[in-house]
Amino acid sequence: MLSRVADNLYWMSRYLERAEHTSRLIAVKLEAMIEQSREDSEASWRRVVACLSSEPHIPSGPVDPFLVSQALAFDRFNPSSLITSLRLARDNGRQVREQISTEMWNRLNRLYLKLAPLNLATVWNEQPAHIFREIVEELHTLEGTAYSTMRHGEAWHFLELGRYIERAQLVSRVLEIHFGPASHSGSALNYLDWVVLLRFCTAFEAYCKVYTANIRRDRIAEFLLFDADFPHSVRFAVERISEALGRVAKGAPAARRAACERLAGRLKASVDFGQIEDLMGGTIDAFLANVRAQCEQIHEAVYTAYIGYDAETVL
Amino acid sequence: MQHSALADALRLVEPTRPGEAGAYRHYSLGAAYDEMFTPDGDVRPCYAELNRSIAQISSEELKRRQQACELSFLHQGITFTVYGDNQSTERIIPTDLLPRIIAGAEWARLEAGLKQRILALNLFLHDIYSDGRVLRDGLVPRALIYGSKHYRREMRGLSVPRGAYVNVCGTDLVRREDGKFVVLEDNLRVPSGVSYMLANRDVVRRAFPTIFRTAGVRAIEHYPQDLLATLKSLAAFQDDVSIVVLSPGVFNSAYFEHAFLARQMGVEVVEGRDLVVNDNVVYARTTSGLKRVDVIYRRIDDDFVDPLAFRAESTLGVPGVFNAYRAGNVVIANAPGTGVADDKAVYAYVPRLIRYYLSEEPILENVETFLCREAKSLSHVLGNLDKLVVKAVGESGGYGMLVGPHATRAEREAFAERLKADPENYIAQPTIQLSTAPCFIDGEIEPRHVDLRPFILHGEETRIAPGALTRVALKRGSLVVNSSQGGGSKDTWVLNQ
Amino acid sequence: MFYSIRHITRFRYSNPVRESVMELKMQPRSEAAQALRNFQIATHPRTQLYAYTDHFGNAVYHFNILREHSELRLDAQSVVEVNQFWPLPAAADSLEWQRYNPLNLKAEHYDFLGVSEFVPQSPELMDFIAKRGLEKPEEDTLTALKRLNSTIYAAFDYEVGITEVHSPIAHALKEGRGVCQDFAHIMIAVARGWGVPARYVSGYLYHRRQDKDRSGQDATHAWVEAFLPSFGWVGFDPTNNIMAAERHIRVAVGRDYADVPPTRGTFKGDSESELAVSVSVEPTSAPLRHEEFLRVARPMSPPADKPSSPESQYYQQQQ
Repeated sequence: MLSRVADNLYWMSRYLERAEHTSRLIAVKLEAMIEQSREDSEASWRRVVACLSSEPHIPSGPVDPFLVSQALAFDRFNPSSLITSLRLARDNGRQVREQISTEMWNRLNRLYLKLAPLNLATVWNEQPAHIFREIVEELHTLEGTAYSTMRHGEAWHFLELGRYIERAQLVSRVLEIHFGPASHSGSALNYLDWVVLLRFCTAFEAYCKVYTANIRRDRIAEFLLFDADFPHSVRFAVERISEALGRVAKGAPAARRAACERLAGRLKASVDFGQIEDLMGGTIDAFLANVRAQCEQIHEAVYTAYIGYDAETVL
Repeated sequence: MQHSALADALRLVEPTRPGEAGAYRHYSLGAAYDEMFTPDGDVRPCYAELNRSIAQISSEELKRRQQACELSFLHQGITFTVYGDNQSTERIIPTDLLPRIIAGAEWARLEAGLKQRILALNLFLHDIYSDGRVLRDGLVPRALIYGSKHYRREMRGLSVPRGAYVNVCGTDLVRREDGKFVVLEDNLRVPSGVSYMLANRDVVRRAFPTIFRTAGVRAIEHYPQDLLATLKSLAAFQDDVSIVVLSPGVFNSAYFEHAFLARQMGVEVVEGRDLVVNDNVVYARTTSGLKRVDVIYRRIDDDFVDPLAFRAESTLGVPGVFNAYRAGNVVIANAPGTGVADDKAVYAYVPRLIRYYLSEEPILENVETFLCREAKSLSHVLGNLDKLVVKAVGESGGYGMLVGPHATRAEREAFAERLKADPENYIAQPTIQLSTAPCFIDGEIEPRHVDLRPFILHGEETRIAPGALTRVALKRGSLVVNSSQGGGSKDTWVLNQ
Repeated sequence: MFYSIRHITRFRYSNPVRESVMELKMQPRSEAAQALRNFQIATHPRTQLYAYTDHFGNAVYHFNILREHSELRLDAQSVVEVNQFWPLPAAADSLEWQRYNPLNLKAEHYDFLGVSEFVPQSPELMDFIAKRGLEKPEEDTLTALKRLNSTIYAAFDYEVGITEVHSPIAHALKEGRGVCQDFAHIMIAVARGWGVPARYVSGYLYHRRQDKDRSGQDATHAWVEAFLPSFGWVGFDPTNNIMAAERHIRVAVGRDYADVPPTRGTFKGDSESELAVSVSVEPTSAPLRHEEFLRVARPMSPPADKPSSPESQYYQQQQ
């Protein structure tokens, strides 16, 4: 397929994943607020902000939930806000309407057009979490629509690639904030905080099925890092990345494909054979940073191999 | 209108006449030729089946079928999208439910005429881009050609595959009051609308499945295959020909058609930035590397095709593609420079060109056109301004248009002065009443003016799909069929007989 | 006599650029009094050159460079033999104006009669023509063209930097100053208004101190050729108020500047480009090298199937 089209599909998918993640974090946090003390709630909000940024430290200072939600969700000037992610997803999607199905485009378009003029203040006093839950649901439906209405050819696999590279990075980041050095400052996380973490990754119920309702720090890390079957674990994402790489650009020269596949293979090895015991001693942050860095490398490699390559390198 | 339940039960078929109580009570016949009814109100043979069908369908049912058509268009995404930053509205070009029907024998004549015409036009293009015999012989004024902004000197001496400069042509025909089809204009550059021809067929056939079968309507679904074969036939080697559709991109109003045709042909739709020329060969940037391109079906105007050869500011084209074309390493369809032959003034010469190149009488006539650059015509025009439509053709100097019958005496006199000062820049034509065809408007069947745009493919062979885009002026009495000005379209049925 | 010409062009880019595509019109023509003896172009970065002959008979080279580069250098060297010009009579006869008819004008002449991109019929031009008494002249064609040549020379100052490469002639007409490109366009505009086919010539001028040329040394030069049925294409240099003769070396002809720029190209990249040009023209001795360059085939020569009238034949013999 055309490199430009692959580019658009890839980024549309990344932005949709980012939008869903952002929306879910806010929804979960708003729902949890009721049960949290004010102090805990504020700390929790700060963690949310940190999860959605790439700053090394968790921010400090007072928190106004409305302003934070507004900034994270509807600030047009925030390059990672929910509305920006949706806008960019739509912009990319519009370029590749021929590749995605009409249904997918219509859903995405309608969602953006509905949210674009939304003023959070008007719904804040009712059930603000509701709005964000709806968005998450709509994006889930979109994912499902893609799965069932698109042919699982190269186009669909670029969507997969985008989704799971983004997911691996986002989940790693959430784990970093809760397990890494940033988490050592401030008060320790309590039971509710851990439940919230699991809910951030739609993992609470699944976790309970695997480990029972006994919430343990190490088991949470293990689940979200190494569980082979849970869709929001890093390992699952890396597996999908590897698979998708095997299914795109079939006609490319072997050397190019090998570069990407090698990087994915290396990452896969580190999560396939990872042991949580090794990490709980204090190396988990290095591990997570490494995961994110390798995802970034895979992204670069995909670009260099299939999308943004200089023409003369292939002649 | 409701038939009585008894009538329904007995399936009493009582075809009614225009103007009488019944399905056609709002159908008034005028001076224009009506496609369905003779001046006496009898149904023409090719509309017999449709007429019988209408008599059996209630107005509510017709409305329901009309709505189904519209929904189908929306669902398939056959829309014009108007994009704004914060909104995008999808609009459909209205498709009228009732097909426009043409008898087989009549079509045969149109087909022969169109084939003859495109043959002559291609010979003309070859001539003016090589020896210029037709100019030396004085048949067409050299200044008209050399001064045309669509005349591309870069095409001189270039070898064009099979001498086929125009590979896709959309010719607009209208039926005069006397029932004869005449050519209104040729579209030889980037003609569009074929996707509507195909989409209309798709929805209208589902609205009238039975009579579609019984009336014996010829199929047109194979158009994309014919287009593919035509493009393929232009390539130097017939193995593994790589074809792309070059489009300005998603924001172009005709993008739907570009993508649609590409999909139907099984080829990629690309933008200029997806292609790169290296060492005089054109490549597409794909995820698997650079893939050579052999034929470009371009839906971009000449001016924008190559910033090196033509307009330098163009970002829609491919730098160096024209040189690759010149070297014979890629085919561009339609060839650059075809626009000189669909110029309003050159149009008037086409019947003479047919005689000059083919030694045949034109099968299809032009609308009678007076070239004011010719003295005899000029005096005729000046003497009959109240009956003619006068149009400026040149890019410089001449401006404006005069619709004689609607103008005041003062306006005509003022225009006459302009004409006398610069006769070469004007042509004149009599006003024509386009023919009318039955349309389903707000629950009633009424006549509306229509034209006809068949599509002609020309490569190794000349192929014409037995159908066309019939455009409708939806406003009562209006003669304007453009979609941007309140026009719609219809499915066009060419019958086996 | 022989000239050795070196024309170096250097593009410098503020940021590296990629996918550069360029066309060059730098190979001197071979026809009439001028014969090309040798021609070479070298590019840096090195790349494959392709060539064709355009619709005006100019030799065009083109190439593309995919990879990133911050500089592009073109080094064109040619050796040209310019033979002695047949002297023209002092004037044409009074019937010359009537010889502008389909019998004597061929297809190629008509290209040079109409308006073109840089040669429009503008109000400023009409003004200039009226002010300088350049409406349809009363004297014979050759004398009229010579007068036009000196009128332009007198009416304008030569000054670089007032107009630029894409300036319309209105600009120079308003300012009363310009460079050879502007003067050539203006002369062409007036001549075409008289019904005389006139074309733009881009090339080189061998400057000698004693000639006191106004045109710049270290640059390409532009002048005009007008078609007179009895003499063929005759060259006029309104910048220097002379007829084109043995010091003028013709590279490309066209309707106006747009048809003959020495380089024209596109590139990809967010960059400014700076152009530096150096031109040197020196007399030289006859070269020993074998001729190696694009042989310019004449573009379509329509077979002459109309016998020329005895009158024009006579004048052709005189040449």
